Amino acid sequence: MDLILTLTCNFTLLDSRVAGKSVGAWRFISLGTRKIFFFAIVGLGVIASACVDPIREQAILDLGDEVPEIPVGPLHRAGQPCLLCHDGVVATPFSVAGTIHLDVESDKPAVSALVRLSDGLGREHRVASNCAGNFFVRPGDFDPAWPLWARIEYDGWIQEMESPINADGSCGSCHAPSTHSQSAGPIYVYPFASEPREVNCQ
Amino acid sequence: MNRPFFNWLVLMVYLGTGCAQGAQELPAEGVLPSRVTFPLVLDALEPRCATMDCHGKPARNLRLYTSSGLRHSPADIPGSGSTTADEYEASFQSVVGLEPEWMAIVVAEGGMNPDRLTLVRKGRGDEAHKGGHILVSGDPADICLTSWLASSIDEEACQRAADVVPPFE
Repeated sequence: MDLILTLTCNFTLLDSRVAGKSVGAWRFISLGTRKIFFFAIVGLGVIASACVDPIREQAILDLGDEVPEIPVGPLHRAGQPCLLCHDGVVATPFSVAGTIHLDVESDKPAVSALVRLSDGLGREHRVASNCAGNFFVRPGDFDPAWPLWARIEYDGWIQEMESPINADGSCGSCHAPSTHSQSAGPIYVYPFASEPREVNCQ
Repeated sequence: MNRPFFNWLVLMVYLGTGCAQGAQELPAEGVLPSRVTFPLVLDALEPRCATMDCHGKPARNLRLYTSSGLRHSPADIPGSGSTTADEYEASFQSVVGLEPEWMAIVVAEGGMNPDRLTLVRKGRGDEAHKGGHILVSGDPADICLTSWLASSIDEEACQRAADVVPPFE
């Protein structure tokens, strides 16, 4: 957008006229061509502004900064709506991604929890969570047809979604960190407080 | 008659005809589909439409409140309990209030041409819909909704549509 404005301003300056006569390099270009160039710049500006989604941009800003101790990568931003950035434009695209916690009382990760996904065409995909509890599925591996059903299996425990996912592969979009009328709360395995488990993400 | 005046006259006749065809006479009194049988419809729509990533979020024009999605009371949590009376009422208001004039016309005409409602067109995928093709014309959920609009709800179709089970064995 800045580049477009700069080009527009330069165009205006370059088309300066002295005593009714065009000066500078633009005097060698016909008026019709100059008009086409001007409108092309304006058009690009309109298109560029239309490509920005202010709501999405604000939602990304609202996620806050990275945790300094956790580098950008598979272990970062646990619990956040992954696909907000991982849409293929801002970051590597995912089709489904989220975070599994060990229990309902804390944010301890469920490491190597099995996530089973079954889509509207009856296809199933399985993925395991990493040591941060994060799991992610790339579109090339599994691009689900909605609706999508999800089930977690860990240490003999099973948690199954009672309702399907119809449009958003980001678990964190609905499973916000806190529980309230618009959020089911974090995804967890044990419906009770559990003993802490040593987790080594090295 | 000169050419410009003739062209203008043709244009006025065309526009007038088009406006007359597009205009619908509203029923003398507001006609609404049944509030009593609406819970059956909402239960059928719930797994398809009312999840938190779709119409179970406040940002949607059509906002649906259910036990598995957006809760009406701040004290309730998605995924717990059953859909409350307040949620049925709020969802009913949302559905009939989306296009109240067209809703009244469709219901007054016995549910004929329900695709005059955006609710039906988008659900069937006949109009751009982020949620895609949710209702298949003639399937239980579609029959449930259209029969409700026709004031002759097919309860069996609604119950079959509401009976959605996760596919895992």
